[in-house]
Amino acid sequence: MRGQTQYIYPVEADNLEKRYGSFYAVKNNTFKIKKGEIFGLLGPNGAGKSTSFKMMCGLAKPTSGTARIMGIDIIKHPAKARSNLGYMAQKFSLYGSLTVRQNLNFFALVYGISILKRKAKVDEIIEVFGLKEYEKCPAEELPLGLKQRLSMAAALIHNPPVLFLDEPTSGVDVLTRRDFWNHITSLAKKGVTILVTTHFMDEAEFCDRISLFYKGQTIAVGTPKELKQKAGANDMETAFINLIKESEVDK
Amino acid sequence: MKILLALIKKEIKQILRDPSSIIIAFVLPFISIMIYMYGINLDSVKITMGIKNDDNSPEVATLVKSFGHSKYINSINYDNMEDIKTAVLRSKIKGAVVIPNDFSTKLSRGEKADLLVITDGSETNTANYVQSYAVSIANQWLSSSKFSKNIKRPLITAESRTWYNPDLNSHYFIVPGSIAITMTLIGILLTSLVVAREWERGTMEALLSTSVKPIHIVLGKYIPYFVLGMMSMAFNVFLCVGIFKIPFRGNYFILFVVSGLFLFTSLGIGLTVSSKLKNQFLSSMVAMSLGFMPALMLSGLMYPINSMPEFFQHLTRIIPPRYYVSFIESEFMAGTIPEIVIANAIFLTILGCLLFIAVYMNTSTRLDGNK
Amino acid sequence: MIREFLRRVAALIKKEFITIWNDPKTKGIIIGMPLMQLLIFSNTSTMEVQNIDTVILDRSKSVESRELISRFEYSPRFRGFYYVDNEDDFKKYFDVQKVQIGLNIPNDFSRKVKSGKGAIVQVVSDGRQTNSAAIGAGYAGQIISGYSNDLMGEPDTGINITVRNWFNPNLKYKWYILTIIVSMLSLVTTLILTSLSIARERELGTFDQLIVSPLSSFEILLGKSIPPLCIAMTLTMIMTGIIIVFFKIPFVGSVALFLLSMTISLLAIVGVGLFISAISNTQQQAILSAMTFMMPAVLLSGFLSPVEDMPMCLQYLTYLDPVRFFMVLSRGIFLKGMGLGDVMANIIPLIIIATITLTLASRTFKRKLG
Repeated sequence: MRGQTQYIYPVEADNLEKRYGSFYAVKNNTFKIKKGEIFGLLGPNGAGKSTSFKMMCGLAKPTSGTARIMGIDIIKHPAKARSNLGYMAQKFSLYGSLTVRQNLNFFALVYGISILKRKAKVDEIIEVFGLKEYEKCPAEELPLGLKQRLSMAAALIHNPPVLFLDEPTSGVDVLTRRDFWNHITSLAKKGVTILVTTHFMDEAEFCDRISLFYKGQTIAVGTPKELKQKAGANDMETAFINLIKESEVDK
Repeated sequence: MKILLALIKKEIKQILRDPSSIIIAFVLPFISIMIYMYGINLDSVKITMGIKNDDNSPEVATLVKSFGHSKYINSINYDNMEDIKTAVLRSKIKGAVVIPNDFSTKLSRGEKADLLVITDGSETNTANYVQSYAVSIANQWLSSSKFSKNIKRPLITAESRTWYNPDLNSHYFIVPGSIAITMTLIGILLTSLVVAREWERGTMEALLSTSVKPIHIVLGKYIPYFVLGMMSMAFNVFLCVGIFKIPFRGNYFILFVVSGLFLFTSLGIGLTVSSKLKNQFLSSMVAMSLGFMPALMLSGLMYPINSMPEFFQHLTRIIPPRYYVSFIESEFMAGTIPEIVIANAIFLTILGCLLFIAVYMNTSTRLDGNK
Repeated sequence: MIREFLRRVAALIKKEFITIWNDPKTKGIIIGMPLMQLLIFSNTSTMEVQNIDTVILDRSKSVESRELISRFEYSPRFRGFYYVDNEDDFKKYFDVQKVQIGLNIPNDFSRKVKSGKGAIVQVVSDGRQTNSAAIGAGYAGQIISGYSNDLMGEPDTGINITVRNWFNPNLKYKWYILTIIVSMLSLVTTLILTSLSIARERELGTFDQLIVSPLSSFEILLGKSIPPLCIAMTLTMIMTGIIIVFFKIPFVGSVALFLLSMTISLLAIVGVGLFISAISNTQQQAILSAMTFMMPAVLLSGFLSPVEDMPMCLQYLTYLDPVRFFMVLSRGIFLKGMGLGDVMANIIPLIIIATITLTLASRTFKRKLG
């Protein structure tokens, strides 16, 4: 009975480390994300945010440490942990020659939605993401914005409690980006826990909390407001630069 | 010019980054030539065959012995036909010789003695060896046996001479032929993959939408792979002549010029295929089917073109390896023969230029389409 | 559990088929290319040397020499004839590859034939085409000794050799080469199909999407091996049907054993292809590695020269070569009617190869994650 009262974080990173020889790509990475929170991984290219992200969803093996999704260890029980996870890659990575509907059908089956419920579920998600008129179109022929929408739809087909997004808005226009973030925030309100990587500083403002990555290490964690205060800056960009400078001085 | 250099530089970087192109240009030819030299033998194949002897006379025992002593035959003795059947079925032996019990009696009476030769017809190439080995050993034995006094010498004998390759060493023609295969792989398969990938990833479209001229793009592909192919060619020739001592009677300058023409033609095929299909899977299927397999089967390397049905003989005229194989075999084994060099070089040049134009048109129309 | 497992595997298989079937180009090329090649190569692959062009230097110019030459002219194997009167011209015809065979009849030919001393005719062949040269020279030899026998009259003693070619009474080269061509085309198609399958998804990023899904390695492996196996099997059956119906090659073995052997042979090749695919980062690496496997595998399969004739170390190497067993099985069952025992002896190594390669492939899916 005590277990039930204890709060479980939907996403936990526990001392994740990735080492190549003596070089640390990611060092000592620990964080916990609360239910319904949007957690951002922020940092320049090569800072280790993408490696961390990959280790979190099991696409890369950590040298030490582990991650838990809904309390399930991703290394020990990968299949079980992943069934709670929706994943959207940075690059469009659905099947180009399959149509919109075929793609969604495929992922519905892979995520274990039974055949009886599948049609209703796919219909629903096509409706929600406004893909109705494109459903027979091969995915590779969609414009970029719609491709992103389809990727998101595929990631959400099994109603995952946790959603991982890797640079979801790279390459799309400003309007689509807006649209996209509206969607993400409304999902979070419904209780979906979201981990997102980005290099757009303005997007960082949409996150509830941010982890700043630099040279394989987290140099600061907090809400956007806290981080700006800590760095004494008015916008994220300056905050970010100041925080990096500080960390350099500390060394 | 600067643009072209930049494109070539980028391409070379890509070649160097991916070890697979080095493997196909240098490692695979090395392995293949090693196998051709040590594993493949088309002239004096050693064959395992069975012998069933029902004649107990001492003369016939010497016949059995001469089968055993032949360096081309590995003989196994059998007592009954059933065992021979099973052995042939299992491919343990490729054939058998059966000597009937009246063999020596008939010969000493001056009659004709029967000898049964059985072959495994499912492997026609070895079946032919079994036949000819058996016939020649039996005749040799007969002429040196005590029955020979009854035998008349044939009135006319054919004396065989093989020019350009007096020892009939098949390595002398297979190994140079394998150069044609390697060059086809680099020219067609490798380039078609590389260009198809650029279409697949969209980098080609991106490049076409810039102000780069189509001729630069085309040359930017031809030149680096031409250089890689010629390096592989040089390596192959070094292996053939330097390491494996295949005799080369021709002229190196001419060898490299015509090889260059062949490579130019092959690159044209590879680039046309990939820019039409824009997909690595389809490109490699087509490159294998239209490039590699015909180079093996229709070039004259494995099967004589003259013996093909008329229609297919004409079909081989559009296959560049046909000209190249004809040239390289002659250049290696007979030396430079102007007629052969010129005829093959002209056909290769024509095919190569036509393909170059096709590649150029393909690229430039796409460029217009994008503007 | 089982139902979910089946559902996921079925989804994967369906997806593989749709990707091929959705695209008319892909469909056409997978089926069309092998069939086109079968059609062409089945007509062109012949060892029955024909249309031989001949240069003749007849210094004897006698009744006997003309009679010998006319026998060549009437032979269906010989086509063009060029008559020269000196060695230089004789050589010239060879140099420029106008002829494959040359007959050099010495001026004492007629005299020696008449005196019964035994005459010699020189048969020259072009060694640049070693194979067909030997065969063509053989035909010439037969014509010459035929003429000689006719002049002498049938000898009353000697060895009368009867040849029986089992499984192929007329020793038709087509019977032999067509079973090999079918195996070769299946091999090439299967290898391209499988070696690209994972590498392609990896390059396009869709493989990551599969990895982060609840699919297990085993499920991915099944989903990746069953579709190419089905396609390769269908293709092989179509091609086998074609050579039976159109080329009239008798199928003497057991159909059940043939199906079983083909399935297992192709599975072993699927295993090799998927293993190559799993260790490759790009499609280029995959295809080129597949070639690097295929060339030696075909050369060592015993199709060009018998395995027993190779050096011992290479003979041992052929035990790792699925193509070797594949060819023995297809030819053995097709033409020789191999029985269960002998089929098993060749299937077991294939099962071992398939098990090892498939296991390695499924392990490599994840190991590649870094």
